[in-house]
Amino acid sequence: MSLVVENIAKQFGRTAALNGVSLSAPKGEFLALLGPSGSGKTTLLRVLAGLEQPDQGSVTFEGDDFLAIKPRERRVGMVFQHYALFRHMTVDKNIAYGLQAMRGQNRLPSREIKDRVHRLLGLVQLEGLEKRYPAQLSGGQMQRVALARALAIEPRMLLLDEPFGALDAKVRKDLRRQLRRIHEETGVTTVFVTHDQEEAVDLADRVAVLNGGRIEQIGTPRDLASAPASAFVFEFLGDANRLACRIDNGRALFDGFSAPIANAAGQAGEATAWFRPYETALAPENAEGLLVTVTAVLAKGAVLRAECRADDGRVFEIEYPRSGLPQCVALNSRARLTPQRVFVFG
Amino acid sequence: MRTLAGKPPKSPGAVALMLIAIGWIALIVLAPLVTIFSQALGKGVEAALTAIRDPDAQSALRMTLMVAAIAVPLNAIFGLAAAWCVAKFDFRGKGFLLTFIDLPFATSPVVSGLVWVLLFGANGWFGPMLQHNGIHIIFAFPGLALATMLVTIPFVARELIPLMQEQGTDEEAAAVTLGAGAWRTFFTVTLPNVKWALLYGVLLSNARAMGEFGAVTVVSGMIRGKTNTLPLHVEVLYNEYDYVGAFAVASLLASLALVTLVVKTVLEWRFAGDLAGQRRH
Repeated sequence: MSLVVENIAKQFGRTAALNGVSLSAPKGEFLALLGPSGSGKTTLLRVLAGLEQPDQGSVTFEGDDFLAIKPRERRVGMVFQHYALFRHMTVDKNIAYGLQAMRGQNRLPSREIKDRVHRLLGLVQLEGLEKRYPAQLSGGQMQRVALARALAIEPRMLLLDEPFGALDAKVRKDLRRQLRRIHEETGVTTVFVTHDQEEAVDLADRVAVLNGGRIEQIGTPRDLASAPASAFVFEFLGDANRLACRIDNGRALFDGFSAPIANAAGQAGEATAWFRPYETALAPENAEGLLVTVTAVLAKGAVLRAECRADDGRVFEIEYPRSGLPQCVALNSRARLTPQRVFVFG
Repeated sequence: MRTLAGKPPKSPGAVALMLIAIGWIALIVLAPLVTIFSQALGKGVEAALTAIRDPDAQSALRMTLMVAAIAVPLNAIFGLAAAWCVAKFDFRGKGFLLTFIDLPFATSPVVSGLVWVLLFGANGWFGPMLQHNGIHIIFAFPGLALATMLVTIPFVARELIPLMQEQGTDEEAAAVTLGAGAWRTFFTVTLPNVKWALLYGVLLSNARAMGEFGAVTVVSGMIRGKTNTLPLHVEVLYNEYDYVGAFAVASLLASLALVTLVVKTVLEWRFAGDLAGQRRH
């Protein structure tokens, strides 16, 4: 393991931002810290960068006690949420900053600095913009300058704080692809913070889901989808429906119908069943299931999404492939809802 | 870019308001300024020059420049340090410090002069001890400098604080992760980001330092050729019915102010973007 974080806690005033966080990552891994705002993910990133000192715990990186190393000597490349480009410096000066700041024998001759800046401009595809000031760049361009600046010092680890937070959808997708390519080319251990589950799942080798200063679960995107550890993870990783049930003999029993349980968890007794919109079916009114009214039908890319409301006001979402909409699903029609597969959490 | 053509046509009401504003400024600011110069030159250029060349006037000019030369750099350093503390760090007593920086704006300059007399005057707390050791603060140059500094303390800090608060600490954090030390971060990131606002604050502070009257009167004792600054010298000459002399020296003072204004205007015009940050609040 290259990065080992153990039992980190950090308190701001009376609120605990991190509450005993432990994780580890092998060299070259692309790790996402996913969580809602206030979950502690940015604080954890800043602890790794040395911008916050934790109250307890340890951070080891490639055998070094990271907390004992000054932030300026950690050689960690950090990309800030709002880029934090030096506003009075041109693009090339921004990128060269870390190289200029090196002292003694580590300092490169100015010719080499120039070459490396040029190479980095190529890597992030910003050739020709080296003499621009940050204020003259678009959000996506600033983002890439920030990335090049962080990569210039050949960081031992790359940290990104909501790297695509302030960009529009198209630029975001473009940059995501570039970031993955750059990660493949440089092979640097990368940790990035996001609140967007799609982004985390799309980019990362593994995702750590944070909630209230704790790690709820850490695993590959596939693990998280197939075996979510908690209702929080299940809900955070996609749209979710829920319905009270009784567990008996490995099945979730509802009012006159039942569904198989996808995960191992669950002792016999009362529980809440969680299920995805795409694992929910609608049938005609005379079939079995929960009686609902279809309140909206929306086309969403390759799927049709129906919104249904039970008589007591609970709302459910159902997704169908565009071609496979059953007859009974029409606006304002009554139908029977059944989950096809549910998750229950202890 | 805004262009004249792009602006909506002016209504008669707007025109009337503009005329009133321009007329008012002409009456209240421009007329006295013209009076100063015309009175100064009332008995010919030669008479005005003689008044300025007078050793007492020269001594007053020297005093004024020396006071400014000491008060302004010290204020710039203190203002920068205070703004840096307030904007980049959280600490106990921050609100307290902010209020104290503003205090000289809120007090009468006479009070700002009087406190030094109470501290260092012949009957003051430390006066007898200092006098015993041959150190003169009141009715001497140190008193002038102290009084001026107290009055001008807020100018630089007040210019810098809002700008630095708006800029936040992310750029400094970025510099640190890139391997820069504290000094390097300060000189390559923090200082360049505020340099125009700093210069602007220094100019305002300088204008006030050279023109200060109230606080300085109290500590100066108005000893001709010794502890008079330009504003005090003007007062002395005027009280002696030497109108040409008074206005000649006043025009010298007004010229210093005009130079400051020109530099300030050029700065505002040239670096509008850099200074805009603090105007938005």
